[in-house]
Amino acid sequence: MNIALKAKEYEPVDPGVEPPLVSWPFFQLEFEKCIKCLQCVRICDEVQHRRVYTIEKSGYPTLVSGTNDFRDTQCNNCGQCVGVCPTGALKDLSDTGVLPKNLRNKTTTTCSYCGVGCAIELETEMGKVVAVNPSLASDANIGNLCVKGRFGMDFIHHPDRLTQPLMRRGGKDSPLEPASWDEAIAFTAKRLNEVKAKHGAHSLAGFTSARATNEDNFVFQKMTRCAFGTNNIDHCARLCHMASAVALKKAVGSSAPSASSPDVRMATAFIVCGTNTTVTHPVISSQVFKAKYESGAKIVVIDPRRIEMVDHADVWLRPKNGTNVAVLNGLAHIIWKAGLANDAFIEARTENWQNYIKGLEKYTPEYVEEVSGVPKSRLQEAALIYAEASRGMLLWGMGITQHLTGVDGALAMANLSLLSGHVGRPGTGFIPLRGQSNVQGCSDMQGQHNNLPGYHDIKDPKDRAKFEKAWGVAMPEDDFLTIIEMEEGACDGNIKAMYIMGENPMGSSPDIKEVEHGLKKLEFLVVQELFLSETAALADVVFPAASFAEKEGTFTNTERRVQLVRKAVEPPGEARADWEIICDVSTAMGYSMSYPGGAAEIMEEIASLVPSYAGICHERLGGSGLQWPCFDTEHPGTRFLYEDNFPTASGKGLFHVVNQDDAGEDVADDDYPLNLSTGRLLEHYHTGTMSRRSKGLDHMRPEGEVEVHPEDARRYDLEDGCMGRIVTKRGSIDVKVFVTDRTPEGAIFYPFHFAEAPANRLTSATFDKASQTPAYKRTAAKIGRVQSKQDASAS
Amino acid sequence: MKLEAAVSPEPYRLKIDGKSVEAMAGETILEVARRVGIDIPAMCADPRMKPTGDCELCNVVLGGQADLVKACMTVAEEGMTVETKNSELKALRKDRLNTYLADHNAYCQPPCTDACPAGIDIAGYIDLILKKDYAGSTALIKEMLPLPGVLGRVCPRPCEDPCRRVQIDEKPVAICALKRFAADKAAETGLPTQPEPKPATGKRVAVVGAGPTGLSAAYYLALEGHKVTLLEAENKAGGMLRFGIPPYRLPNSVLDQEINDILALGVELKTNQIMGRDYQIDTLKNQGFDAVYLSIGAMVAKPAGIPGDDAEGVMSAIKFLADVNWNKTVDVGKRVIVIGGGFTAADAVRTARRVGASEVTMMYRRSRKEMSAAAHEIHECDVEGVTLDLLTAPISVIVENRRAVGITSQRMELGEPDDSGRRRPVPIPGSEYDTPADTVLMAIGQDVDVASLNEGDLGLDERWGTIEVDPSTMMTNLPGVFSGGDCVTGAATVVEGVGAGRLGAFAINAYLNGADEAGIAAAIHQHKPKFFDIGAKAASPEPLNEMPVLDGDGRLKAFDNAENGGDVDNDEAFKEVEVGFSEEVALKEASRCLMCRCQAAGVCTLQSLSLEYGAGTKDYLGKEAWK
Repeated sequence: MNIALKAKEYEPVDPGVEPPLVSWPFFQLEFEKCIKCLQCVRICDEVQHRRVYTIEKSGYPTLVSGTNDFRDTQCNNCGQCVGVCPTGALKDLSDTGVLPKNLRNKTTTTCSYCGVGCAIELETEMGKVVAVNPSLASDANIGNLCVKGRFGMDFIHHPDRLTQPLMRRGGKDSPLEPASWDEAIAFTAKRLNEVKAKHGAHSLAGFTSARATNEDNFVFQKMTRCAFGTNNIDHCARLCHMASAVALKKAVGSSAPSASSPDVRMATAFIVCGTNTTVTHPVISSQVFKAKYESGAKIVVIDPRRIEMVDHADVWLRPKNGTNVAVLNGLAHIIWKAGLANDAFIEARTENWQNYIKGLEKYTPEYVEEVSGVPKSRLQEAALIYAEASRGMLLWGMGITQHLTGVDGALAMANLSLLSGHVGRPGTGFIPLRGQSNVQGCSDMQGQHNNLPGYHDIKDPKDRAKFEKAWGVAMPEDDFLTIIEMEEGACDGNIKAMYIMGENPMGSSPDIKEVEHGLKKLEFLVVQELFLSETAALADVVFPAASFAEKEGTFTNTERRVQLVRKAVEPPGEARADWEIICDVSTAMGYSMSYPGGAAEIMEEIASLVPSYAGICHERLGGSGLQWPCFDTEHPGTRFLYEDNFPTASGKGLFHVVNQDDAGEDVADDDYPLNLSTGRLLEHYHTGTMSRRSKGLDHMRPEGEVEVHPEDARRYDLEDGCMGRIVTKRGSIDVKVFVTDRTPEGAIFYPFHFAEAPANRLTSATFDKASQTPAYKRTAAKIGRVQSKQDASAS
Repeated sequence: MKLEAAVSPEPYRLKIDGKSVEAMAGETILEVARRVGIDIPAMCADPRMKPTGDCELCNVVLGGQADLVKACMTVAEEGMTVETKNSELKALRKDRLNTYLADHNAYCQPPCTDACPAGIDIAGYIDLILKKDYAGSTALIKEMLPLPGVLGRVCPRPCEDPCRRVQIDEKPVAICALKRFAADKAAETGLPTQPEPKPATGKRVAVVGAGPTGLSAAYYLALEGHKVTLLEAENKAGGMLRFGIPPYRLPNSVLDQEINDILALGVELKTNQIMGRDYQIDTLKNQGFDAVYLSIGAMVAKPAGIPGDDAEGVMSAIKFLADVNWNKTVDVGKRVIVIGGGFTAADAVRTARRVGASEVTMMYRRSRKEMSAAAHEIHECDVEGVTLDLLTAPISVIVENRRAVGITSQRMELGEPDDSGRRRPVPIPGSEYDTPADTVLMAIGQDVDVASLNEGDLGLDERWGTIEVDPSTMMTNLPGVFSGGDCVTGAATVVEGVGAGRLGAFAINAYLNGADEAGIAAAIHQHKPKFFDIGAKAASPEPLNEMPVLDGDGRLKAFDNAENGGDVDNDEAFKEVEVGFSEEVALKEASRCLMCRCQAAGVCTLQSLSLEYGAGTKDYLGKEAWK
């Protein structure tokens, strides 16, 4: 109730006291309650490593800016200081509760934002989430949280939440109208069956969500295979880490990240490549800092942008966009030539070494410097840091994968790991950082490359028989389509109906003009969502889904850690858990599914079919959860992989020859002289359906800004705060210009969270050959000044 | 360190407080203790950071060592003996906490809200007054009490006694007057102050008695979506508020307005419905009511029990007040004696002055200090020319021709305190004296009219003559029949009655939603915070803003012109005495509030440790300013 909300916003105590230090709308420090313990100053300095607080002569904390506003400092509102304050001096301004905190209900669950999988505690009151606390329950975050996890949960009760099914009763041109569940489900099943009867099973496609639980995803793919009768199912990992998954499967036999948070904290050297970790995975970055500042670990950053991690790096390599493979090969070349390769490991645990080094020959430091622009001395330093470390760790992100050579980039990373033997021991390994709460689980459940759950091969008769026996129907035989192919299929008429659960391709897929064209052409589109997203607005039927706070289930994070998602509040209106809706649709279509035991029962079925989940059941997932593989109910889970062997045919890791290749990239030319790269901001998440509906997060970043180097700004007549128009071969958008040397000259960066000016109106649907991950990091673009009203009023 | 240990665990043993525990290599004493559930206090040890030992609270005794060690910085070793609690450590920790508290000029939970029987978020509504959001302020009050304008006038204000402002300038914040201000202002603006009821549940509840308790129950039941029928014996709702409290304290227009707001939620009011005559509890059930709430109050005056109390000219103060409020002509003559020292007695003397009595005496057996009527009420009695005859007890009514002509009473002196904490009056032998009177009004308390219940099955408390309920569920011995307010507790204050009505509504709501006894008890369980002393601090003393009242002389003049039996609503003599705050004064008064409330209350380490170690003191006040 709004009434109760207001009561919390007390004015500072009495006139005459020192005004508080304010980080509006997140928290403030009130001095009358401060006991000068300085825990806030310490956690900010020692864990977050930001220049925010200092100490006054009187012993009180104050801001380095000398002002009362955290905005004047490096504060990024993580709120760690709020969590550590032993009194109420640091007050959570987003707390909408009325009861004293100890009397509220508390539910420990897993954060639904990025792939770190932080344990959080939701405080609820009268059926509403009123505050979020960090939880010490999980080893994934050991009590740390970022701004999204702590202050970004108000989307749960946003008035835009869908509360009842919507459908178009009179065809495509009729409006979306409220409907009963019975009517909407019957209608959906009837239409899907009609399309199937008319155009065949393979004209249907399912697009599932890396933000839904394992249970939701498992049931979704089961519906797609058993009720739809097709293998046309994919999820958004296609758009981010599929290149890594394909590469790792080839190199080490499994697509999974090998190491865990505890290993990150133990590592003594990092190569952080193509991941803006402090922004995309802030809690992982604080663990990298822990390793560096508490144990002296060294950090190599490879990134064309001057990301924040660069400030903490021992060596920063700034390659030209798209020259990852050359740089990584260059590092390998130096290590090999310097005699620092781990010969014993190579001998015992790997194959194809000879071929590999033949391919490496040409990547001399001189050659790499010429291709990438990275000075060879820097390459030398970086190579030695990683090769000579006792425990080396590789972290990478979209900077590796979202190129036409995404798989090659990831293979080059795997090569480095094998070459140095930095895998299979505590504190070593590699983590392709997963961007969403359940990307790993979604892949595990739904499979990829024609895989059944648990990476069972859909072409292998034995694997097919196992699932046919369990599910009582024949498995479909078709080759599956990827997201990109489905979207193309929609355009050229091969795909006639699509079921999209918790995804917003109208924001996340490349070249959204084409996506829109395709979705509109479909005979039938079902979208299951929290909000009426840009995609849901095009649907024939929209099902209101429960958010993570309103259902039970599990997420598998970027360390393969399966953790519980617990129900803290009831869903709004008639919204239901994704898996419940799917079961009803599937049953109505003729393939009966029901799980009276709830999500826990679904997990039992998963455990019975997926060997690496065999020992996982909801009861065992208290505390830190369990990391797969977990083979039986006594198995403690697996913190790091490949201690003894690799799950390849030979049991050995495979070196791959990879080459720097620019063929087909949308490279800058005279007409489009700049390279546009897209990515994330700290405050927002994905297409912003959730974070844009959080009061605090949207307050921090109400609009997207294109980052332009000062030289380019001068060249194209732009200044900080003016409106610029980005133009590519696909389209154009008008956005505010942010002049910064964070981005290199000749390149611009624009985040993809903003539906009103979507980055993917600019990008092209060109992708890596092997994984079909789009090349979001490379689009040729130009930019010019726009004379507009906003421009006139911009200061 | 711990991580390496996890790879090759080699547990070994030590003793903490006599308990044998296992430790991993590298673990500190504090970490071991926390893992095995032994509580060592610590303010600064956080698993995310390296320990510093700054707070010094985790000091412990190591076997065979004279100096204390910090548990957060001492790595556990094989065979260690650790003592975490003894009197020396306790004293050290208390001292350390007091040092912290010297810097901590805030308070966890407002003592006013704790003292309020309705549990209103007082700091919250005062804060909204400061923001000039009067409708929001009133809405916040209405979350706990649906009659803010009424209570803003007649509440005995238990909240103001513990107000921490008293520590600064000896007078509490005028909490009650501010409540009235908010309610009056909100009524002026006409902005909504109550939420929409939840969707209809289809459940029906009968509330018997439309006094403060019944009205409150009806309000919260209606908000939960239940269909409520109020059954009232009189021809108007209000109960004691309407005929027990005179209009110069509570104008009927204010009462009517707030009752109408409650009825606007869809509550049905049936007047002239007398239980036993028009219906019985059983028949209510047959009429389709799913639950019943009995809130019949305590409406029958206690008998004085002295010779002559049945004479003509002797009546109960309650009946007298009711007659005047119903605009009946009541001839009390010129000389009136009222026996009693409570609110009803104060109302009776002042009302007697307004209906033509010129010599009005209030007789009370103890002194002014022990009177249960509020001090400002007694003061108004003085202003209005009432004689207080204190330390005296009536022995008998002097009767001539079956008519009372005076009272014989006896002087008292105060002895030892009794159970209520007030000093017991002891008669002084041979001090009897007579006082002449035309009318004697008895105001010595009220009883529940149990006879009117006429229900053989309903369980009663024989000793007190009240309805018996299970205090944890508010349910009587009859399933689905709940009760609260004066008829359960005996005559109490309006605010207690309103609070009981709200809890009753929650109990019934839980019952209607299928809760068992434990579920109902949970729905109405009230959490009471623990307090410890932290001295209040403010920039400067700000004197209390007194409630402005009608001029005394003007009032006395109006009394002379009063029309006995006329329309009290339009009678100058019955005009509301308290004028209410102007906006300017209200804002000034609101700014005196110290906002004794903290978000961290209940989870604050400083709070829990201070309570545990008995720290907290006002001694530090002023010795060390916080900045």
